[in-house]
Amino acid sequence: MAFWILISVFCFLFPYLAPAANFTATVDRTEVSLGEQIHLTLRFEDMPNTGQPPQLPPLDGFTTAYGGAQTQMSIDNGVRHDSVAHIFALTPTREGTLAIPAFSVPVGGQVLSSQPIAIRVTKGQVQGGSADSVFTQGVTTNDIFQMTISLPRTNLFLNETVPVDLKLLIRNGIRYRSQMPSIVTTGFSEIKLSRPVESQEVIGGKSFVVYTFRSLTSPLQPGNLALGPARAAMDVFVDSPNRPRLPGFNDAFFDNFFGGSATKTITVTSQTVPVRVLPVPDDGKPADFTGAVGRFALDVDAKPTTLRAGEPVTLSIRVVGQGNLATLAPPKFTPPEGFKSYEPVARSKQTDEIGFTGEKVFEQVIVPLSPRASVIPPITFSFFDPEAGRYQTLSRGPIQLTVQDAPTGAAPVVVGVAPVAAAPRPQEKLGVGVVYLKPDLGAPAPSSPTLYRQTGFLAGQSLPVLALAISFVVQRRRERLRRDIRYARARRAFGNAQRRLAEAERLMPAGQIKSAAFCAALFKTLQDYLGDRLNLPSSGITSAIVEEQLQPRGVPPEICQALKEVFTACDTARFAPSLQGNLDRERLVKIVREVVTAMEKMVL
Amino acid sequence: MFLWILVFGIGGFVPFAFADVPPAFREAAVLYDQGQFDQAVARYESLLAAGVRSANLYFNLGNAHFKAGHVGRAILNYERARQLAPRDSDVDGNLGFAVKQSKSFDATAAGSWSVWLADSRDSLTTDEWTWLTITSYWLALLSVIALVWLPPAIEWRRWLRSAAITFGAIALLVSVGLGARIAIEEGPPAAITLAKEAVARFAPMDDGAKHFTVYEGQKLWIIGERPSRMQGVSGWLEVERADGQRGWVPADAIEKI
Repeated sequence: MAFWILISVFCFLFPYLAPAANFTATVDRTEVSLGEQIHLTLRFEDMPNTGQPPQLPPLDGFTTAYGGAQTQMSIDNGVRHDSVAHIFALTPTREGTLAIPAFSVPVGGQVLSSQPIAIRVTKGQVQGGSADSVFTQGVTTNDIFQMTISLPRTNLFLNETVPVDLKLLIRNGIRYRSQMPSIVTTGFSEIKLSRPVESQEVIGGKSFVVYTFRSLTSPLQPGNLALGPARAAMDVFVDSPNRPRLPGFNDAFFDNFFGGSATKTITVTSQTVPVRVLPVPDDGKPADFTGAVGRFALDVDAKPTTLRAGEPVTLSIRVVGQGNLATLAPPKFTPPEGFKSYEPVARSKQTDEIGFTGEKVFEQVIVPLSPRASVIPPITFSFFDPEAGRYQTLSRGPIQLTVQDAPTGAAPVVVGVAPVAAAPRPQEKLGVGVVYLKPDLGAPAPSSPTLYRQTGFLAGQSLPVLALAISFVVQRRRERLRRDIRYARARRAFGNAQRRLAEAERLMPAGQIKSAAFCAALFKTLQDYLGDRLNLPSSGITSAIVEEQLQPRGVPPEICQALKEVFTACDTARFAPSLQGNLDRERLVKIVREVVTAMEKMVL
Repeated sequence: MFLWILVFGIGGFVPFAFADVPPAFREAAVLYDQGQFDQAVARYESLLAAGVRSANLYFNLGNAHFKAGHVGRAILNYERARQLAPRDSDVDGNLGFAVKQSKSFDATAAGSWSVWLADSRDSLTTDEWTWLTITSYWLALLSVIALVWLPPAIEWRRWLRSAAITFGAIALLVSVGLGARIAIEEGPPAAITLAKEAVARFAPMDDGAKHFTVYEGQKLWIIGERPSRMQGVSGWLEVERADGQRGWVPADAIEKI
C-alpha cells in the first residue's frame, strides 16, 4: 500500500516533467495446470522508480512470490521513456477459472488501471489439444508457426505447369527440429520439394525465420480442385513444467537441476488453395497442337545451308519460354520429298531453379538426296497461352539450301605430267580421352582402420626398442661379470651356497659316519660363500676370518657368533669326532642358511 | 628395391583380388558400352551400396559419370580410386583429363614444386608409408641389436653398423612422407564440388554476401559445418579453396572424397 501512495505522490508532483505515465498488468499465459506457475508482470512506464517492489494485495486462489524487477530506458523523438517491470510468480492453489483483479494506481490526479485477467486452472497437465495447437502458454499457432501455399493464378488449364511457393515461417527463438513439408496434391502432379531458401522476416513486430520452397505442379484433371494443405511435422523443445519460471532461471543450464525440457511434436498445416481447372478449349485448336501449354518463342536454324547432295544438314528447332517444357513434344516437321531424315534428339536446359523457364532444342538431321531438295519448308509450333486464354501458332522458315550435285567417278589422269611426290607424313598428334573401364574389381579396399590408428600395431613398434634396451642391459651385465671378478664371485656366492647347503642336507639323515662328511660339506659351503663374498681364496677361509675380516667390516655380532658356532662344530666333527656329542645338523643348516641370507643384504 | 619387396611382401596379406566379378559389375560394363551411362552409374552404385569398395570400381564409376556429363562426380570417384591405388596411371590419366575439362582447372599450378611434393606424398597410401617406415625402423634397430650381441672381433660388425645407419636414415626420411600423409588424413577433409556452380558466401545463409564462386570438379577442404534444423534439407559447410580463401557453401553442393 505504501508503494502505491509513494508512486502517486511523485507522479502528482512531477506531471509537467514526466511524459505520460502508463501502467499495465500482463501474464505470460492464461492456461495453467495446478501446481504450475505463471508470471504476472506489472509494468510502470514513465513513473518514478522507488526501488521498492510493490506489495500485491492477496489474490484469491494464488500464492505469490516476487521475482524481481527489470528496468528499461528508451528515447523516442528526443523524449526519454523509463519503464520498470515488476515480475511476480503466481501459483494457483485450486482448479477453475481464477481472476487476477484490475490494479489501480493514482497518478497526477488520475487513476491508471490495468485490466482484470482470467486464468484457467486445470487439474493435470494441459493437453496440447488438436494437432494444430501448440503449447499451453495461451499463444496462437500463428504467433509461432505459419505455413502458406501460393500460386500465381487459381484459374488454370489442364496440364498447365505453374510454380508453387510454399513458405514455412518459424518464430525466432523457438527451439525446434522440422521434417520436410509435404503437400496434398490430389488432382495435381506430384510436388517435389527441394532445398529451401532460408531468410528472415519481421511480421507484425515479430521476427521469423522463413523457409521458402519453390516447385512446379500441373493439374491433371479438370474441375474445382484444391491444392494442399501442406503439412510439416515439427519437434518443439519446451520447458519442463518442473522448472521454476522465475526470471534468471530460464537458462538451459538449469534444465539439469529442474527436470530438463520436454519435446512436443506438432504438425504445422497450411491453408488449401482452391483451383479451378479448365480443359484447353477445342475451339480454334490448331491441327499441329501437341499439348504445349505456356508462353513460348520459336527459333529454327539449319547448318550448313550450302552443301552437296547426300551430305547432312542439322536442323535445330529451339523452343524457349515457360511452361511444360519437360513434356514438350517436338514441333511437327515432315521432311518433304527428296530428303532423308533421322529421329530428332532433344536437349533441355532450364534457366531457373525449378525448371519453369528454359529452352528445349530439338536437333534433327536431314539429308538432301539431290539438288532438287533445296527448301526446308516452314516449321510451325502451336501452343496454348493460359494467360491470354488462346492458342498461338509460331512459324519459322522456309529455309533455302544450296545443294550441289554429289561428285561422280574418279578424277581424269593427265598424261605426260610427272606424278606428284607423296606428301610427307604429318606429325602425329596423340589424342586424349578417358581410359576404358577396368575389367574386374581388383583388390578390395582395406576394411580395417589405417595402421597408425591401430593401438595394437603402434604398441608392437615398441618391441624392438624394448629388445634393444634389454640387450644393452644384458650385455653390460655380462661384460661386468667377465671383467669384474669380485663382482662375479659376489653374484654367484648365494646360488653356490644354496646348492652346497642342499648337498649338505642330503647327508643329514645319515648316522655318525656321515657326520664328518656333513660337516665337511657345511664347512665348504661357508668357505666358498665367505671367499666369494670377500673375494678371498676359499681354501684359506677358517674360523679366524670372523675376527679378521667380518667384524672389522661391521658384520653384526650375532652373525659372527653364529659363524663361530658353525665353524667350531664343523672343526670338532672333522678333527675330533670323539669329542663331539649329538650333532644338531638341522640347526646348523638353519644357522648357515640364515647367516647367508642375512649377509646377502650386506655390503662387505 | 629390397625395401619395396619387403614392404609389399609384408603388406601382401591383403587378398589379391575379389574372387568373382559380381554380375552388376559386368552389367554396368555392358550398359556403358551401349551408351547408357546413367544406368551404368546406377549399377556401379548398387555395388557400393552393397559394401563393395575397390579402386577399379571407383574408376569405372568415374568413367560412367564422366560419359554421362557429370564431371564433378567423375572427379570425385577418380579421387577415391586414387586414394586406394595412388600409382595407377589410368586413374591419374583420367583424373587429369577430367580436371582439365572442369572450369576449376588451374593451368598455372601444374608443374609447380608444391604439386610435385604433393604427388610424391600421394604416390603411396598411408599404410604403404607406414609399412615402409616401420620396416626401415625395425631393420635399423635389429642391426643395432645384432651389433650389441656380436663379439667386437667379428669382421662384419662394420657392415652392420653401416646397415644400421642406412636403415635409420631411410626410416627418418620416409617418416617425413608418413607424417605428411597423416597430416592429410587428420586435417580438414577434402571434397569435390558437384554443383555446376555454387556461391561461397561470408555467412551460412542464402542472403549472405557473396565471396567467390566454386565450379564443378573443384577441390575444396571442409573446415566448418552448420547443420540445418530441417530434416532432409542440407545445411552449410565452411570450405577453404587451394589459395586459402574461405566461404560457406550449401552442403549438398560438395561431397567428401
